[in-house]
Amino acid sequence: MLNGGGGGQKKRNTKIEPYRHRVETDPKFFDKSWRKLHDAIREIYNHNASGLSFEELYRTAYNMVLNKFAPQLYEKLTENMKGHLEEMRTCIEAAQGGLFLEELQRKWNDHNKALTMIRDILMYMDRTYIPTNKKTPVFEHGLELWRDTIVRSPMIQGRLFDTLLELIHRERTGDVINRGLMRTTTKMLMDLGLSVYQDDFERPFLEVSASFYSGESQQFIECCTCGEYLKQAERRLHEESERVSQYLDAKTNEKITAVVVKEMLANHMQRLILMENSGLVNMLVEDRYEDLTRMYTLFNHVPDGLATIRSVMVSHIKDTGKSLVTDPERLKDPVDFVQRLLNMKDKYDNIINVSFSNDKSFLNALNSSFENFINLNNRSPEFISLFVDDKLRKGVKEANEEDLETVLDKVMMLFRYLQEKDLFEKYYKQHLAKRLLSGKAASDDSERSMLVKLKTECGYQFTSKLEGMFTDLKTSQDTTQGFYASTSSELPADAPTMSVQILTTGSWPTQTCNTCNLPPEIVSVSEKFRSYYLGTHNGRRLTWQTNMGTADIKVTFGNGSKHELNVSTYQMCVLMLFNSADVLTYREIEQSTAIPAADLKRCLQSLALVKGKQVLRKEPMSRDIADDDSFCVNDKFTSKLFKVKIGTVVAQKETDPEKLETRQRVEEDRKPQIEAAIVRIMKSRRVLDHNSIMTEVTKQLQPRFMPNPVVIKKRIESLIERDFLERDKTDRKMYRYLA
Amino acid sequence: MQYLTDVARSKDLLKVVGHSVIKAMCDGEFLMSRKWAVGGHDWEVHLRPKDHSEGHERPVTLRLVLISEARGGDVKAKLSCRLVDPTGRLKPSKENSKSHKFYKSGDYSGAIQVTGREDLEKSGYLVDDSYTVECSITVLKKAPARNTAAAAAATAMDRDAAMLPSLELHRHLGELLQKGTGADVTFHVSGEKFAAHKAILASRSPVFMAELFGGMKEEASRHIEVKDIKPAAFKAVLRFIYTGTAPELDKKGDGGTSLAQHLLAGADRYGLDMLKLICVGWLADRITVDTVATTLALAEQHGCSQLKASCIEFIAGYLDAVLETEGYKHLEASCPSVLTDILKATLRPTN
Repeated sequence: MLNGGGGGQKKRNTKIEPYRHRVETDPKFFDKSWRKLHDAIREIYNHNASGLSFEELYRTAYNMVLNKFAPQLYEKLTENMKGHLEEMRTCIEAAQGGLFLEELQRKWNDHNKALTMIRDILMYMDRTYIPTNKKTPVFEHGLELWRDTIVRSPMIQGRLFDTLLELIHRERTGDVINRGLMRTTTKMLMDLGLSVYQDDFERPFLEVSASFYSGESQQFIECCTCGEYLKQAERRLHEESERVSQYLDAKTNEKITAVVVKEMLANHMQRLILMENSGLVNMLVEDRYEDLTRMYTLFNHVPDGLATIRSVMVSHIKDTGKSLVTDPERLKDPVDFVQRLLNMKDKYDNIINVSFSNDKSFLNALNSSFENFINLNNRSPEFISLFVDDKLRKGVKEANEEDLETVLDKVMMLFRYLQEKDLFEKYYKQHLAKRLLSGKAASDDSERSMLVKLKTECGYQFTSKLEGMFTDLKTSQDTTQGFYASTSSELPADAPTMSVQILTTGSWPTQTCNTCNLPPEIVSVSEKFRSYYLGTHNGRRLTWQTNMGTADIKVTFGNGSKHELNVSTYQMCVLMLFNSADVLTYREIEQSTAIPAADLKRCLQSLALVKGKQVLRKEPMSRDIADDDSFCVNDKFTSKLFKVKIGTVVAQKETDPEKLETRQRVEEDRKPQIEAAIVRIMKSRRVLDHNSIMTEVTKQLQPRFMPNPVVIKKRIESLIERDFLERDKTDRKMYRYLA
Repeated sequence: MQYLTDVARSKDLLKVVGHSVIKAMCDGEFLMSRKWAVGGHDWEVHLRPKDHSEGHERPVTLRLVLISEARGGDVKAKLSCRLVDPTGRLKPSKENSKSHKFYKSGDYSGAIQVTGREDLEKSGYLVDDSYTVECSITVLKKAPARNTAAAAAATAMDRDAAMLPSLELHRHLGELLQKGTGADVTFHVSGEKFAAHKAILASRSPVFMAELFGGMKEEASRHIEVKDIKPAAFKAVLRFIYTGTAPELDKKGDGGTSLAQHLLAGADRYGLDMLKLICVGWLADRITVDTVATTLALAEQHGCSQLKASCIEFIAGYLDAVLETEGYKHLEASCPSVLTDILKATLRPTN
């Protein structure tokens, strides 16, 4: 059998020796070790690191630290690096002109590379001795030495920052500079510590910038318009932000922006905004959206900037508005008056929306301005109502429903500004009544839509009577239908057809009860209606308001032409007389019809003096109606139309006496409202002093009108006389509620 | 793997001096240890030379007492003890343990019998009228509760993990180191060669990162000579870098302590903090008369303040024995400053 050749080589068992750290007893251990490191550092600074042995150098430093030589090592390192930096400083100081920053940058790069390697070699000290003894880590220590030895050295510090600022100045004045070099230099400053960048560079930079922009702003403001100046300021702000993003610290942006804002905008704010021919007012007048946007955006940075703009805008709006509402010429045309207000509102809404970012404070300022000047003219409530009347009469004939809706919404904004909303209500009621009764309302939907807006704005109480008016018309239609259904067999075949509007007292504007003599044909039907109505409504009272009616009359003139005339009730009474008479004097007509003189004269003017509508002829031919004038049918009357509309009853501005009467009626209506408010307040408070009552009453009634303090005082006296209130025994200024 | 619990451990020696005089103590009287902080709680150990409650033999007993309030309602802990011979001639006695649930300050565990009193005097543990008890306190720590979303995600992850082969990155990298496949650098340590991969070394150790990629000679070199480190320690350093595991020091007998000491120095040198902590912990748990001086010198040099304190404490308790060792002579030569610390500790009153 063949032998396998024996076993393999016998395995040697290695025993680990006990730990024995080598004790350095060599008195020159430190010096020898440091020599190694010193020489290595020199090679590192001389760009010869690739020949060095990390293993040897690291181990050397490691052993030095283990043998308690770290303090000496740290001290030697400091001296050594300082020496190298002083050599670098000499080279940097020797650099000529434009090469200064480049040389500084080159040496900085060298130092950083060297620092990285030195830190690596001394990593063991960084990890152990330095944290324990709260020393600065090697890398940071190297940066500190660079800062103190080079950046802040007497011959470099001033030159460095002067150079940086000079380059920035040149860039501001249009030169192209080396931005990359600027970036690396400022980055160096930041690497040395934020305080170096901020204290050594940023602060003088901001000071020099302030000086620069102060000078520039002085120069520009003398020769530029406001718009041009702001455009320049905007450009400078953009340039500074660009500069920060290119080669400064991001946090500087806020600071340099503040400098430009202060020097170019804040310090000249009043002068710019109020600049003649080009300032804010001029921009507003000429709708210069771009300039306004820029002004708003720029002055947003300025303390009180927007407040100043807002203040000037408010003054301008108030002045313009005041001129508008107090111009006697404008008062002649209420519709135009209100349209101009709406246009003005649109204009400023647009400016605020486009240029002022829909700023709420500006919208509020606009609203308070309008409220201020609209109420300067105490006829504004009437004029707004007349404007609405005009739109609701024309309705979709002039614009489609949506446009009408838009206009009404805008009018509501003006309405909100009114301080005497109750006065508006009174006028609106009158105008609405005329529209409804004359059949001039353009659209029932539009009328109700307007009513909804008013209710939304002022509550149910404000519009309840107005809604009652609509209800009355609906009821009237049903009643008339019922009348004819039940009495048709009793009426002659040729009896005129009658339509009756039953108006609830209190819902409709108060009217003088003017009766006149109706034609016999009409009387017979109207009396039948009265019987029917009173028969179906117990306790009712029926009074005819003949001054508010209309009539359609079929006429055959002498020349054979036939027409259907649309006339007022009064005009009908006049015309029917000529069925049995050829010629009538004014006095005879007045006697027969019993129409009040003022109404009758207007009536006859419409029938005899309006060109194209002269169904009557007057002798003599004159412009006015006299008592001894005579009238006859115009047998030569012609018209292209079969239906001829005579003398539309149009709402007119009140005459001064009428205006006074309306205002007195409004004042009278306010008294019970003031009393009701006083009673409500005292009922809940039981005891209250005079001034508090004044305040509370004003607060409660303010949505409708501003109560007159004198009137409030009188109402209090009246309530005391009627034993609703009494004066306190000891304090006559104190009132007590009596249950 | 989910850890439902964790434990905190601490070990210390209780030395009773003057046994013959202590015998005069009455039944039930006890000696009190210093406050002992383990697992977030404070403890005391009471030693009764004659515990009459444990039988007519009145054995020597220990009890664990909770000093601080129990955090989280209750705390569970175990006290283990055995007699040890500081000189190392005798093996430790059989270990006895008791577990107990503590609710509030002052709660104490049941008695653990260290030894019968007569047995103590017959055994070799009573030396110079003194004996030493090695005590170990183990405190149970609950795993922190996880919020629902995280728990659900963890559960899903565990389920996914069960479907996948388990991650054995450390084993694969260990094999890579062992085989040397693709190695791009070889270290020469006292005649032995160790092949390794620059990228892996650099990623795990800042010192290797600087050495291998820092722009000096080694960056372009495939052979690096390393001095002042034992090959076994360097090998263990590499293994830790690749696998994150330390060698099983317990299996090396007395050599374990030596390797741990060398390895501690190596870990410190290469900036491997975790490995350093492992070595410190291992050495602190295995202080002996023969090794304490060497360990103290090492702790002093490498800034391991807690290990240093433990060594000084130990030496103060066994000064005469330690003074006889070779390690101590070396300590006198290399670290004279620690002698002052030892003297101060010796003068301090013991428990």
